[in-house]
Amino acid sequence: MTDAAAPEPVTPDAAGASAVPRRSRSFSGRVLYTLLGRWGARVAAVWIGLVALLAVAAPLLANSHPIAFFDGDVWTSPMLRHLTPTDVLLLVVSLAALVLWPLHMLSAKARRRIWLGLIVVTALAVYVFPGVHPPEAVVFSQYREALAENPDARAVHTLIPFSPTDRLRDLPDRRLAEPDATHRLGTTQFGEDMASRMIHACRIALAIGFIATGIAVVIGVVVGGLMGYFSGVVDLIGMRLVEIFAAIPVIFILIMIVAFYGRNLYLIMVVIGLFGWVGYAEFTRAEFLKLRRLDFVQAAIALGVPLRSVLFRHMLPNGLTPVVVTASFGIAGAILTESTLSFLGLGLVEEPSWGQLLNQARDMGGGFYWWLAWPPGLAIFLTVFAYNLIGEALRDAIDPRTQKQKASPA
Amino acid sequence: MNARFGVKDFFVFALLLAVLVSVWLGVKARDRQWTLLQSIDDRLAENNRTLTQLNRTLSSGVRPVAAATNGTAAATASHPRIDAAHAFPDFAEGDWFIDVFAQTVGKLTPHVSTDVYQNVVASYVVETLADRDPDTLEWAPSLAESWTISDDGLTIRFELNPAARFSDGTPVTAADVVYSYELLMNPKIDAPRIRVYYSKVASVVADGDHAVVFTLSEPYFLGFNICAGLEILPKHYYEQFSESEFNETPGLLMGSGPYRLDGDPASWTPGTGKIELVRNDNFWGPAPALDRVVFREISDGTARLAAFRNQEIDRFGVEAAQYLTLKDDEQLLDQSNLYEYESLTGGYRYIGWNQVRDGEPSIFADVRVRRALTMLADRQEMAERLEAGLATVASGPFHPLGDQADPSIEPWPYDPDAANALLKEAGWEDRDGNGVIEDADGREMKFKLVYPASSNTYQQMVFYLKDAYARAGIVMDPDPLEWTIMLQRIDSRDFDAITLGWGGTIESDPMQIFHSDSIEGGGDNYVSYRSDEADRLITEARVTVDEQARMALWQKLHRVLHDDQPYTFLFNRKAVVFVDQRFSNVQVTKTGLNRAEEWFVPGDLQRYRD
Repeated sequence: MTDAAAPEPVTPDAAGASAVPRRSRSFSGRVLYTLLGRWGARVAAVWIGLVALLAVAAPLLANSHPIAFFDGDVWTSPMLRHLTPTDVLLLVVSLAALVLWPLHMLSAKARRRIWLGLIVVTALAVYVFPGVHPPEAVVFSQYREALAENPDARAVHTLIPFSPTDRLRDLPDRRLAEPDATHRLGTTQFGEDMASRMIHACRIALAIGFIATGIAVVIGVVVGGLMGYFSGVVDLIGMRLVEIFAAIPVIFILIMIVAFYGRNLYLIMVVIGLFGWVGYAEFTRAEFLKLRRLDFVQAAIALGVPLRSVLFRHMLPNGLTPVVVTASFGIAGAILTESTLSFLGLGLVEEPSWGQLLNQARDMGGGFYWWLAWPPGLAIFLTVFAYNLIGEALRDAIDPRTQKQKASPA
Repeated sequence: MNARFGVKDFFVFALLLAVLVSVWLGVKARDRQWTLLQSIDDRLAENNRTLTQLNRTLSSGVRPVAAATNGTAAATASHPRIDAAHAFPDFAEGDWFIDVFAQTVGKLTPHVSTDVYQNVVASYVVETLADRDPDTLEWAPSLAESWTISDDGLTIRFELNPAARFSDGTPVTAADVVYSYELLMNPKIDAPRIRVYYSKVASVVADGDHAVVFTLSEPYFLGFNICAGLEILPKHYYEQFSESEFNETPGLLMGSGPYRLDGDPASWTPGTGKIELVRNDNFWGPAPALDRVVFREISDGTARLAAFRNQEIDRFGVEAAQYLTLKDDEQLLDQSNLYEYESLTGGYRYIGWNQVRDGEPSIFADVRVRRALTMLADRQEMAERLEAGLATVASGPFHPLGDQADPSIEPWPYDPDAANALLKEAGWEDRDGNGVIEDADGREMKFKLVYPASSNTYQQMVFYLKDAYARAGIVMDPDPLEWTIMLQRIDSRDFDAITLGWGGTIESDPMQIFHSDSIEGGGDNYVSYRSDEADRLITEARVTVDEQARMALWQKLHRVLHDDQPYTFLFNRKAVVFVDQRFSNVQVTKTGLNRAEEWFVPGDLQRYRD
């Protein structure tokens, strides 16, 4: 219902006009430009950027371990000591991306290579070789206790001085506290700081969206591509497979799998991905059915280009656009699925997720804790809404019919 | 358009007004008819009630004559607890009690039902030979008016009360008792779990119409329990069904109790959301006050609370997590009474430490480790903070109200320093500086604690333990499991530690939980606890029929279990129940609230009628 979507081919709005004439931009560049020209998509991008920033910087923002701690003799940094391999990897990768992005003297390809190299090196360093080894038995209250006992002790805390699983054992009366100066968003039934949990939950929201959708897209594109390219019997069988998978209720499968194999976030991601590829397969198939008759594909086949190359180098880039649009809706769907699961009490046990926090807002006594309900509810709504806005805008930006000029791909 | 109010409009309005007035008058007239009908109905019901009462006094007037011919006068003394309710000045018959179950009951048929709540329903419908008095815990006559036990404890002779009648009016005879036993032992009947208990009964023989003799194959301390506790079913009724019909028909519930199933038991179907019992008009004891006992099935806790608030159900069991908010809830306290009680049958919570993993002794095989883990948990604080003070710290498997427990045993105190010293003595300390303690072989003290998912109370407790153990350098990971999966893991002994609860009985048999014979073959000693001393005490106590000597043995066993800590015994929990305040004669007994057949509702407070 945005104004750009209105079918008025003659008078283009400002964003559309500025987006189209630059012929020098690549297709993806143009799409991005059109996309960010819309205020809805811009707001959505800002929100998702914020969630991503919180996700990456979570341990630097909300941590019971002080940045620096003086126990009377020496200064230490418990926060650094307690960073997990994942924390380190995320921080290094994001920092590298931020640094490399504006380095224009390097080609885009070179930047990408350096960045990927960095990911591999850091991952090896922190996971394979035990570079980062945080202590496993953690007593969160030790710093607060030390500060209370030792007048010489000093601590420099993070913005929110509570970890998401710090259940305030030294302050048992702070359970289920309403928002105040120390706990900006209140505390949960277990005594955990709500603000800290909200920030750390961003990670799960982002990861579940991207990884689950990533898996679904890969499967969907491969299956759909093969179906579309070969058509005939392969298509027939493939479509039956698609129909079977389309009829499986993912949430029930998830509930069953969680019951049997325990609470495992990666398993949940994989399952959402394994059962969510149907849409992508259908779109890719339709595109490939159309593309395989086009001249450039016929030419590639005539030249004896290997099948792999025809499929993925020549056809895929031209058939990917509807998949990208669907994927952004898919991310929203995956986040909702995980929230549903967590809300039903089948998500992670200790680590926070928005759905689980929402679940904690009501208790068995019929009580309702408003300060536990609105932040995760709003976060889920905004994130899902943001992905939908981006998907919506992407579709408009890519669809040649809503463009003022015919955009010829490739 | 001219909007003038003309003569035509006036007539239209007048007509409309007339129609409205006549409708109103019609409604009024209808209303009056209705109230009239209602009062006629009431009078009829009242008449009916006096009639049944008359009938009953008549029949009870006849009864002593029949009893006299048998030479006993005990017949009128049956069911003294119901009789006691009749003595209240405001006693009145009528009204219903609407109870609630958290699960649906799929089968009511005795012996073959595996539903948790089946025995609650059955206890209103079917009677046994003798019953424990809930206050004194002594055996009191029920269908049997007296009994004699031989000196070796192997032969028990029950004299049946000749007045006893099933709900269709036929007398209860010795043949019915023999039939009930034989039905249970019939291998074609789907009751292997109950049959196991009766494996020690060698024979049940009728001696005339009103006496029956049970013979045990070996002395067994619960011998009288199982004989007296046999559910007596009417032979003439159950005989008409084949074994497979008995196994498969869901509602075959009939007996001699104060209530009977509403309608034909054979056509009862599960899944209607409620089970209705009506007063048994042929009941051979004093009539219970309530016309009906209804069980509604509401699985969701919040929905149960809402139903209780709306007065749709009359009883509501409170969980610890709800207690703090509900105990001061004005609305609930206005409409109902709050009962808090400890009950012998309340059972206890524990953490079981699995001593054998994959055929090897686990990290919990050392008694010092188990004791240290007990002393690291501040159970007193847990009881106050997590159970809202509704729990007392347990020292062993026997309830402190009972005679099996040794009152001189104090639970292990919360003492982290002593616990750390014990761990160190057992060879556990942090050798590589990663904050986790290891033993000499480099095994780290890390384990998963299994608990039932979907229970907030357990989760609170498990998180508490995790944080407490972290202080001692022990890493514990919560592992919530669905019930069926958990049972499977228990059966395959595939867990490090588990926290659960055991239900209680008046005198419990620790054989299945703590005897080393119960380790193999799916017994309940799933923590693989092995102690010669405990084995000897259990075996000896089980064949000791003399109660005092047996209690001394149980108390010794209590001491052994306290020292060995195969479990960390957590709490004996109090029950908290709201009961609608219109009920009178609701009492707290040693085994919980007294039964609804003893309750009554004074006339002006009655809410439901047939």
